[in-house]
Amino acid sequence: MMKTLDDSLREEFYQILEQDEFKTKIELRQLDIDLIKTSFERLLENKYKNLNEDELNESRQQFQNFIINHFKENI
Amino acid sequence: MIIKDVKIKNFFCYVEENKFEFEEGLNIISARNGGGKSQLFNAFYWVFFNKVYTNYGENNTKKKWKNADDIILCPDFKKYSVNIDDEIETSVEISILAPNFRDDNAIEDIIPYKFRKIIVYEKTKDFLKISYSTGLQVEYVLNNETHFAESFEIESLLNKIFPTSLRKFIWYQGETMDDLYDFSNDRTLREAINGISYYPIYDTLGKVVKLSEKNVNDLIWKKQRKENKLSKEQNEIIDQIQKTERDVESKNKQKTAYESEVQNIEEKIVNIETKLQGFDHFIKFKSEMIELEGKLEQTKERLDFLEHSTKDDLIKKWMLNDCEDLINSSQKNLEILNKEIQKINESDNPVPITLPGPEYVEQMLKDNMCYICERPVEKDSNAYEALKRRMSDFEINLQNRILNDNYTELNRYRRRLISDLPKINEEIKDVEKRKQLLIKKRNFLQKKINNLYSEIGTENKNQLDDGAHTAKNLTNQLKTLRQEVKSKTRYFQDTLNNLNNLEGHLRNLKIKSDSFIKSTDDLSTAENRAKVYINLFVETISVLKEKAYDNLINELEKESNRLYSLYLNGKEQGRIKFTSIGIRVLDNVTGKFLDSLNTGEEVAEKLAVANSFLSLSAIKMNKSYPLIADAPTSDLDADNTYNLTCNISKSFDQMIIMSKDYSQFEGDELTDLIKNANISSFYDVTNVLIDPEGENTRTNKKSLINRIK
Repeated sequence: MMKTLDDSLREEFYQILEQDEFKTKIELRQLDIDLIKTSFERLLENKYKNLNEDELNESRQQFQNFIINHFKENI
Repeated sequence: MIIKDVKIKNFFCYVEENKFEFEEGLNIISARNGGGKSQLFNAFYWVFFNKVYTNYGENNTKKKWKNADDIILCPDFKKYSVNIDDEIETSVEISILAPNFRDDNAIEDIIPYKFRKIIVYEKTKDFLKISYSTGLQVEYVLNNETHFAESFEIESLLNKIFPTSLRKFIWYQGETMDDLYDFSNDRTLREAINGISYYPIYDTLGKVVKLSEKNVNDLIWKKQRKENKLSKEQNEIIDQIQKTERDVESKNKQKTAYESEVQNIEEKIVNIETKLQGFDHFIKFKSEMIELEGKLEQTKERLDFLEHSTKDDLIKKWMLNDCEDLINSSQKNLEILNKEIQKINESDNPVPITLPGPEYVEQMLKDNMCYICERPVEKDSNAYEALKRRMSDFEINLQNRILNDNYTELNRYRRRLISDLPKINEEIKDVEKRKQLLIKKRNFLQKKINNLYSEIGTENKNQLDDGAHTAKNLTNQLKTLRQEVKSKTRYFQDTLNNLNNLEGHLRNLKIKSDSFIKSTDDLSTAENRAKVYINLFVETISVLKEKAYDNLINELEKESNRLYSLYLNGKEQGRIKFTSIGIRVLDNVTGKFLDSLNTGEEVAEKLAVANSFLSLSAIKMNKSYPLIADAPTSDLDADNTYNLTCNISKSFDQMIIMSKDYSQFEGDELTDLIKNANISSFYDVTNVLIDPEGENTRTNKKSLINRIK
């Protein structure tokens, strides 16, 4: 099956997370890797280039609220 | 994107309607020279970009990309076979499947398009004139309904379907291979990368996470301030951060604005340069014309001068021709005159120059008063008579001077005539000769000017003048735009430097704020915990963005080298490397640049790089483009042509290759090639006589399509 655009973006992001620098940061800060990956999916939902100011803000809101709400539900 | 079919009607060598149907995979149009393959390529280019690759209007065989507006596209057969006042319709219709141009987010939404252009010519007594032309019409089917693109949206539609940065890789003209790309300019490479990859998406993601970082920090500080958890100094740092963030944002906007202005101007420059390609012959002809017209004017003036200014003089002299004896005899009279003058000069009583002048003496006579001794001078007295004699001396003296002048003049004229008269016939002959030479030159220049008009293919001067005028305007626009790019780039660079300083300052402030936020941060609030994740996203996406460009270059290099090896059947001497000074081939062993590559290697290199861009676009963006190539293998030998054909089909979803090089394969060899190269459709196009009994001329020829597979 042909790789989609999201597949390519995801693959490159995961490769960065595998780098020692970020692996250490994730461990030290005790970050949840699944949450990082699912948050990245929210980012991908609005990936298309040349977004205007409103669209950027909307995208920011979706991404940010997803993480904040995750903690609000789990604290 | 897939090209489904092309209908060509009365376009160059295609008489009446002809149809090519294309499949996914490799489509070959095989034709010998003059068969019609390049005109099929032109049909595409005419419809989409209003240009054709031709030597029409040139006084040599060198072909150029030309604006199609000045070129008669219909076949010679039609031009000569129809009657006066009859109309000939030339049209091309291309059907394709491509992403919905109205929705950027729906690249997988593939819809059918029809691109159509029609020109109707009317035959007059001497030439064909355009009766009407439709321009480009685009029809597409969306949600089961047929729509027609508005004229104002056609350009953006074309840009979406065939991005400008990729066009030259999609439409590959073997003869213009040297102009295919110039990646010595970093921007050219970057633009092509933007066109083929998702690299710009990282920009968007970066903006989103940075916005989020700012927003979540604001939320946390707001909360901390509300709960009075911050000292005065800490509050000040936060105020500074917020102010600097606003400055950074405004500088970023400025930077983006300059960047897009520079990009827009550069696009305009490319457009003007492309337009100018269709006009350069006007500039060349106009400058030649100006030079010739200047020379013609100069010649005419010299001829006029010769005819008019020397005419009177010559006639006067000519009238005195054979009068030498008469003139010589005048010598005697002149001598008498001279003697008389000498005699007067020798007078015993010459007028002393120290005495009062004639006006003074005249006044004394009038007033009867001597102003020298202050005594009255009675009329008829001796003194009065003396004064009168003095006046008479003055008059005699004056007459003598006049006489002397006349004598000198007459003598000079006589001497000149005596010297000129024997040469008069020679002079007349010489003038006549010079006149004939000038007339010859004038006629020659006039003929050259007329030839120039015939060469350019325009019947009247106005067309040439309009073309030259447009070209001059375009050149001026180009000059202004280039200056504008320079100054905007300077502003852009200044803004970028300011931005870097501000970002550095912001980083320092954030390090300070992080230290006191951490000290108060118990990760008890959702915002505080989210902030840690968002920070990680800011860092990772910034690294992703930096790495993405390098990765793409690496992937392009890898793909280029894979294709390069395929096209040369594993016999490559080096590997392709993208460097800051352009794309080069490095020696496999020494790692140094290889120069003096053979033609086959150069073709393979350029094709491999061009194809790597298209193939990577297919991989990265899930967007595929066809490769439409005219004569890509023209510089390759039979083995390389065979290898390239077999291997190229593995590179793309669709390729349409037009070449004469397949006519060397016949029978089983051709069947093997079709099988081994997995060719989807194979057309053999031949140029045949329309009337088999008629003359072997272009007016009796047309292209005949035969689909072999």
